[in-house]
Parts: sequence; C-alpha cells; structure tokens
Amino acid sequence: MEYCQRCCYPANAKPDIIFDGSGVCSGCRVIESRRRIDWTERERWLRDLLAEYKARAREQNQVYDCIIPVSGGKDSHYQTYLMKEVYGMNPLLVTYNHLFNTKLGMRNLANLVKQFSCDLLRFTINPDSVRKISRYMLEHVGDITWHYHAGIMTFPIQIAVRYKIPLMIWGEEGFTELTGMFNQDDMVEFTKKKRQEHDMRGFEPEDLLNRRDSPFTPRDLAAFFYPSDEEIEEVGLRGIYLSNFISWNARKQTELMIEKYGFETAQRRDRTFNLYDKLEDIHANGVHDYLKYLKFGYGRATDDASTEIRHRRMTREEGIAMVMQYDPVRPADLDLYLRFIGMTEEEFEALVEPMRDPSIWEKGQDGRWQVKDHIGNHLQDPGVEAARLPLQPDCKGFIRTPRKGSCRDEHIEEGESLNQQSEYVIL
Amino acid sequence: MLKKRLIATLLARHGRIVQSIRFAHTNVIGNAITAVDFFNTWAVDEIVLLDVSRDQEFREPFGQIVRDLSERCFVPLTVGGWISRPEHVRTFLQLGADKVVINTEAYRQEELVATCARTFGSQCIVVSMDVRRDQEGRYEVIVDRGRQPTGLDPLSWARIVEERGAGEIYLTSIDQDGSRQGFDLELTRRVAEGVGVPVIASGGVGNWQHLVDGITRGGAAAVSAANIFHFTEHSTKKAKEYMVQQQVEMRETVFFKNLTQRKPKYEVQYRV
Repeated sequence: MEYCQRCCYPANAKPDIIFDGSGVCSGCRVIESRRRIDWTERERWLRDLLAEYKARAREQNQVYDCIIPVSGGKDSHYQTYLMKEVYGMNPLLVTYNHLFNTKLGMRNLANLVKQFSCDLLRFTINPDSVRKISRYMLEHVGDITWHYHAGIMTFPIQIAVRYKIPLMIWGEEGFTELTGMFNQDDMVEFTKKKRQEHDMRGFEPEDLLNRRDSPFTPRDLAAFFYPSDEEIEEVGLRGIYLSNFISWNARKQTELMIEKYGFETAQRRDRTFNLYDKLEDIHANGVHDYLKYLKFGYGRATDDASTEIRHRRMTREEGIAMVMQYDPVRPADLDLYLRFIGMTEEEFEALVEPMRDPSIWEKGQDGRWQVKDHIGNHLQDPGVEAARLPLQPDCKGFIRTPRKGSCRDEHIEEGESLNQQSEYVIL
Repeated sequence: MLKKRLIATLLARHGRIVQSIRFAHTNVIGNAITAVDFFNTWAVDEIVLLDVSRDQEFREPFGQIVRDLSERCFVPLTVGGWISRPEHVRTFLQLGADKVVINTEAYRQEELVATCARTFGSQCIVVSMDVRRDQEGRYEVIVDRGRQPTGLDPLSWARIVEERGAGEIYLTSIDQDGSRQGFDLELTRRVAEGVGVPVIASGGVGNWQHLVDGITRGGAAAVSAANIFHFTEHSTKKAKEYMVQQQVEMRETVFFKNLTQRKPKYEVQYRV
C-alpha cells in the first residue's frame, strides 16, 4: 500500500484521494493552500452574501434568514456562534435525530440552544425504521449509520423548501477536509449530486424502494426524499460551506467554544485520541468507524492524526503512533448495536467479509483476516523528509472539560464512560 | 443559425472523475455515472468523457463505463482516450458512444483520422488538440497528455486534420486548464476562423461569463468545462440560462427527468 508522505492516509482512502509527484495527498495540499489565500477578502464575500440574504428575508417578512443544520457538536456551536454573534443573522437550527444519541451529545445540544438562544426544529425518526434501515444498509453497503447521513443531508433541505428559507449554512466541506475532494478556490456549495454520491453512498430512497428485496415502505424513508429540482429552484436554495470563507481550523474553533460557550468534551475515546469530534452519536467513532477499518484497513485515528499533522500540531511519527494504537481497536459500543439489531458478532463479521478491500486485507494461514501493510511500515519512506512541515511552537494537548451532570444522567452509574452506555438516548 | 452548445467534460482516471489544473490531476470528485445523471437532468447539451488514466490498462473497464453511461445518457456522448486504431473507435461506437475523440495518434499516424472518417463518417470523429505557449509566446500543439511537443502551429494542424476528415475540433489550452481565468480567446478565435468545422473551446472556465466569451469573442461553436460544473446545484442549467440572457442562442433549458431506474451498487475496490 502507498501512503501519503506527509500525513497518514493510505492510497485506498475513501472518498478517493490522489497523490502528487512528491507522494503528498490531495487532502494535505488543500490544507496547505490555505496559507496562500486572502482570507480578509473571503470574509468580505461572506459578509456581503449574508447581508444580501438578510435583506431578502426582511423584504419578504420572513422570520428566519438562514438554516443551520446542527447536531449539537463542536461545528454546530461554531457555525451558530458565527451566524448569531458575529454576523447578526437569525438562523433556524434544524436537527435530524438519528436516535443513536449519547447523553453528552444531548447536553451539548441543549447547551447550543441555550447559549445562542436559537429556535430549533428537530425531527425524530421512529426506532423500528432505524432498525430496518440500519440492518439493510449494513448488509448491502456495510454502513450502520446510512440513515443518519441521509437524514442530516436531506431533512434540513425539506425544511428549507417548506419554510422558503433560501440559505443554508454548513460548516466544513468534510470530504475536502479529509481527502481534498475540492480545492479552496472551487467555492463548492451543497449539491444533491455530492450528497447522493458520497453521503448516501449512491442510494436515494426511491432506489431503495425499487429494489426486489426492499423491506421498506415510504414511511421508513420519509426524511430522505429530496425536494424536486423545481422546488429547489423556486426557493433559490443554496447551501454554502463556511470553510470556503474562513480559514477552517476545527480544533482552534472548538477550543474557543469550550472557553466561551461551555462546550463539553469527551472524557476518553475508544478509537481515537481526539476528545472533540463526533460526541453526540454513540457509533460514529465506534462501530461506524470500525467498519471503515474492517473494509479499508484504516479508521478515525488516521483521519484525526492526519488533521493534526496538516495543522502542524503533531509530527508524522506521533501521528503514526496514534494510528497504530487506535485504528484496530474493537469498539465497546459494538455490543450495544448487536443487541439493538439482534445479531451475533460472527454474523456481523461474516457480513463485512465480502466488503474487505483485497488491496489491504488477506486471510492468513489460520483463516483470520490480517492487514497486508500498515502505516507503521512507512515511517521512513523516501519522500517523508521533503514533505515534512515544521511544527507550530507551543502545541498543547486536547482540553478535557469536567463532566457536567444533568437530569438525563440520573440512571447512569457513576464512572460509566461515554462508550459504555447501556441504551440509546432517544430524545 | 445553429444553436451553440454547452458541453460538460468528464476526465476519468481509472473510472473516477478528476479535476485537472494544467493537465495535472489535483482532486478526485467521484464517479462518472453520477455526474452524467445530474448533468443530463440539468439540461447540458453534450457530454465529453475522456479516459485520462496514465496507461492503457484501464481500457476495458472504461469501455464498460461507456456502456453503462450510454444507457442513461440522453445527450450526445463523446468518448476518447487511448484511441490508436480504427477498432478502438468501432468498440466505443458499439458500446454506445455517439462520437469519439482522437488526439495523440492523429499526430503519430498520418492515416488514422482519414481511415476512421472514411469508415465511420466525419460526424463522429472529433480531433482534440492541446496547445501550449512556448517561451516566445508562440502557440504549439502538444501531444501525449501534455508531454510531447510537436513543433506544430495549432491553425496549420487544425487545417490538416480538417482536410483528413475530422468533423469537429476540440481545442484545449494547457496554460488555461484549471486556471479559472477564462478560455484562451486569441487561440480559439484563430482556429475557429481558420477552419470550416465546429470548434469546441475548452480549458479555463471560472464563471459563466467565460462561456459567453468563448462563443461571442472566441467564435467557438461550443464551449466546454470540466471542473466548474461539479461545484454548484443545477450548474449546467444555470450556465445556459446565463448564456441565453447574454443573447447566446441555446437549446431550451428545463429539468430533464430521467425515469430509467437507477441501479446503484456499492463499490469497494477502486483507486485512481
């Protein structure tokens, strides 16, 4: 396997990554390009754009001038902070509730609404549909949280059309942040095309209903039907990514939210060293990410370490140590998921077997799967020194905030960690 | 007066769509089927799909992609990349391409364009020319994916391939490719005024006005872009509406609904 000479990504990373002549990946190059951008000018573009939509909302006697799709996590906090506190917008917050919630995540969501005094609209899908969709998508595309990406990327758009709110504010363009799908100058916006192909893994709800083995009714998939092109056009709907307008640095932004607005971090994680990301969903960094490892031989620690390296807060060697420690870990929430879905671990592993990428996985003599290669074998690749970035002075570790109590937590035993929740928090 | 065409060009490297800046592949967007589906719906007039894989090994899977695309594509589908023999043209046409693009081998084999035009008809033979300015500012035709200089002047070369039976010329400025600064209008105008066949301008679109300029100031019969259409909702439709606003004659823009059942499949093994 070929690995990026600067960060930790393998050549089989998803979505696709591309290496240049120096063996450095497209994700690294995008983050690097931010140093050459006139962010003052970009910030002016953002200001003008927001002013235009604010004026339009006023002309049409609309209460809300934009929608922010939120989970309650670190980026939701930062997006809402920018819109509300910095630019004086009046956003409607919209949440798709996927049910796999953590108590910490719910505390943060409540904190978001309280701190910024925003109206929030939340759609909660019924547990039976979740069970059906999660199981079917695990079997067909090896993804237990398909419904969650489908909901996050569709329900807010349904609302935008229904409420006639033409502007949606997304945070980072995530694929760019990880594997460099777009350049900073592309000014990419939210499109149904990108959502369908990458967030929905190619499947629209219509496709699922049409399949011969489909267990679904339209009710199961209600939150995933995208409004028609005509409706989108009539509202003039646009979804912008803030990472095109401000020099996106999630960790720095989160630390501002911790210090000023009471954002709560994780205490510890199963599969990564990062205490800030994906806190509200019990499986995102657990089973969902473990599936990525089982398929492609890398996981969230690779994503997180690569981000730290690109932002010059970690050396490649430190990053590799993190990847080796965390990527192969079996997540504790697997038991909870298997109970929910009614499946044994053997059945789970058998399902994943045909989805393992043969460029990284092979069956050993003993019949067990093993990786053919890993980043640990590529510490001293020929291009590493030339691609190295100087570390920033005074790099600090992740902040760990004290754990807040809340009435939601009364039935949890003291000392229970994030991943050892015995049930989902449905609301 | 013939209507002007808006073309979306897709650069497929091992079947994945890549962005290109001065002929270097910088980012990976996704797969060809999704892109064609959306551009079709968004009223594009034509699609050019080029196999820009770094070797010929991907020829066969690329052919399968062409076949799958032709089942879902309702606008002319022009296909090229690694064509060096009349059989390659035949294969692409049988797989559902409407036209084919020949570039490097048109230069290396004197007979190829003429043979293909005689066999299949000029209407489906597009000759693609990649042009770079040299240090003195002179235009020069470059072949082999921007690697091999030919010493040829673009206009003389265009006239030669027209003579041999090329039905259209697909003209790309390597310098402008991915620059977002607009087409090389001087180059486009020189070639478009000097030949009798339609010239397609390509390389450098950064906004919709650049497309208009390619037609009105460059004299092109059609304008093409590869990167920009991936960035915004309803991109090709909006581009055409802008062009119509600027008095360019275009085919009507409505949303074209493709009711053919999609058959998405989850792919694990692919790599650019």
